[in-house]
Amino acid sequence: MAAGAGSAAGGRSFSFKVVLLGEGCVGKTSLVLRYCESKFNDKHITTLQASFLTKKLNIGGKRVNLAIWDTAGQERFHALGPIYYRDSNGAILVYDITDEDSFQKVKNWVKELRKMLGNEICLCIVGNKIDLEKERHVSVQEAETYAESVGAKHYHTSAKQNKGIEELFLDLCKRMIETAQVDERARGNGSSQSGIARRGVQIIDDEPQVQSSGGCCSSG
Amino acid sequence: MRQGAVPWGRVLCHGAGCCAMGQDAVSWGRMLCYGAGCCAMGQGAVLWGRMLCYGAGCCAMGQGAVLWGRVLCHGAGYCAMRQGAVPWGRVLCRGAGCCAMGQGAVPWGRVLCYGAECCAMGQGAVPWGRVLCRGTECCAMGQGAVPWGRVLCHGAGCCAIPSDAPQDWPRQWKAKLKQSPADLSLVSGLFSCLLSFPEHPIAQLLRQLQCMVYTRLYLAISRGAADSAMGSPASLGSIPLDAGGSVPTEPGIRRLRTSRSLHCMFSVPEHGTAGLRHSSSSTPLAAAGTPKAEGGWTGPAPQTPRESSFEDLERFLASPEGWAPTEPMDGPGAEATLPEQLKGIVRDIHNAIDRLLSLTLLAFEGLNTAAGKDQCLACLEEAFFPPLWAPLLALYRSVHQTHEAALARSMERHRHAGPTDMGLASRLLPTAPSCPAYGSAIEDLRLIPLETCPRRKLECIVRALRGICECAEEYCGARDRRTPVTAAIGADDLLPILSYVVLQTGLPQLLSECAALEEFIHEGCLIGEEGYCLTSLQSALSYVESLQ
Repeated sequence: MAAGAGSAAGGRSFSFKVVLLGEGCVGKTSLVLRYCESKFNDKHITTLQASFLTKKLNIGGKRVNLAIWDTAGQERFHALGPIYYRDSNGAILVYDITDEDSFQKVKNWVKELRKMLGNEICLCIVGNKIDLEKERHVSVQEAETYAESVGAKHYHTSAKQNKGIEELFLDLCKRMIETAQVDERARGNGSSQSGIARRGVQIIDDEPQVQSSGGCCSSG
Repeated sequence: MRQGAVPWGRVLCHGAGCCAMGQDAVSWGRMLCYGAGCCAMGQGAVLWGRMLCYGAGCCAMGQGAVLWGRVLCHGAGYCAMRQGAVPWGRVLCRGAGCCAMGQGAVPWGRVLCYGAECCAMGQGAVPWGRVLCRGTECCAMGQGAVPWGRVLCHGAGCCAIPSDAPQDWPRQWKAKLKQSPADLSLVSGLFSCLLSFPEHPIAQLLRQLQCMVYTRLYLAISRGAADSAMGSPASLGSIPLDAGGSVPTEPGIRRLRTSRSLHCMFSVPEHGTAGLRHSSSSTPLAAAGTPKAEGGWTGPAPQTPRESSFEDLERFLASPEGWAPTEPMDGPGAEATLPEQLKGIVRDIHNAIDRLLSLTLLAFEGLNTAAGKDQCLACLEEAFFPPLWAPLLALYRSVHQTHEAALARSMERHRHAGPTDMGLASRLLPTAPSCPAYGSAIEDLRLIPLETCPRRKLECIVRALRGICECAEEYCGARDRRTPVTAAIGADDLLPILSYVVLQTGLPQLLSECAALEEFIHEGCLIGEEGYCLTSLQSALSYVESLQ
């Protein structure tokens, strides 16, 4: 009854919210579908199709649950952005390397995200459709310089050829873990079972703490 | 022995089957048995006296055998008691398997067990009495062994309940939970059983906290209503359920102001205050302010004296004074605005649920796992919210009045907008023009106001969005069978569809429902599918509100 090895050691699990931003035709839907479907199954990952996807990863013994939130890219829904990306741990901002406009949109979002969420959110700027390299309109140099200037990382992907996607997400996860750990350390130096600090991040100890209480069983 | 055979004397039995006693055989005297099966007692055999048994199976007692006296058992398998054998007396067991009790064996008395497996109780063995266990596995109880009484165990695994016994009593549930901790369906069974005993501490606390929250809601609402009574009496719940109806002509600008003066307070009906007073005492509350007094338990509960050490759980109940509401509820200084009052009430609700959860986890340790807690929370909320949702929503609606009115106007204006007007791509429309597009999702959203518990409402929302995805897939598939994956819809498609669906429901109060749900959605669900669906619905609502 009581006890049952209450020591709360062991691995941890992280839950992260990642918001997906990008104009209509940049291919963010295919990107995320690629990531969540590849290898494992061709069936639906969740019943919300590409709007909301989850993925479980194990990175160096740390379990990570990713929740990927797609947002509507149309201009008329722009004002609704904040309600989607609040409490996000990461953001993936996708543009189409053949479309200069879509890169401008990314810049706008970056500004907004930094304004609303500060530096705690990990930003990834993603130039998609590198299979269309010949039609490139956004120079690699420009994109990478920009990303660096705003503290984001830049990636090149092709959803069509399934290139660069795994790396993108893996890298993002590692950065989010780092951020969460730094955050946690800054917050409650060492108090291992400290609860959820921010609404988004959840660090859960594997073994739930066994609560000690009076008699072995008691009720009215 | 016959009647009055040894009224004040002592009886000592050493032989086997040595005494067959009649009524009042040893009225005030003492009985000491050392033999096996030595006494077969009739009614009132040892009225006020004492019974000490040392033998095995020494007493077979009939009704009222030891009316007010004491029974002390040291032997094994020692008493087989019938109904009312020790009606008000005490039974102390030290042996192993010493008592096998039948129905109502110790109706109001006490049972103390020190041995191992000392009591095997049948149904209603100790209906109102107390059972104290100190041994290991000292009680093997059947269904409803102690329906209203109290059981306190100090030993390890001290109560063993047959696992096949049907749901009834906490001990059985504990064993079940222990046996299959992964089976979460047990939890809801446990709760429905638990709450069917109105005197169980958890049920009592639930009612008490509901009453407290209800009273606060009532005060806030009636004050808000009094505040705006002069202007438009249509303050709360006035927005028509279907947007097709009339929209309040006067958006309640004044409604969001603070309550201005004392006279508002005086307009609060008498029973509001009465309920308030009740809520901070530990007396039963059903009568005062509980909106839905469940049948059966409205009378005063038989008050049992509270004795120390026995009542782990009752300390929770006894301390409502230590749990003052976070804000003063009234009084001359209270000029809180409605949004502030709402905030306070929301906090109270969270606290109330936390308290109920800790009490439950204290009573059923087996539930203290992440999954168990979650399930517990679900059950508690399902019990907690139904009577409170209507007034809670009314408060939310009056706080969000201006937004809701704007949404209602927009819905009315765009009532006839078709899917393409909302920007849906043609591939997302049904091929057969006869069937309404996304009809199932519209129906699911319309169910939201009919549910009374946040989780159920969220389920409606999730169902609606899943339905949208299914429909979209179906519509796309009907057009083009070659590309099922690229047909998967993302937010670019989902949000326009959802906006269309929202418009079709014609329910502006969904805005307030969502605002309330946002507050009471479980933290863990916030970034999950439920959270995404709720966020999307809120987005769609504010998009519709913003339409020109």
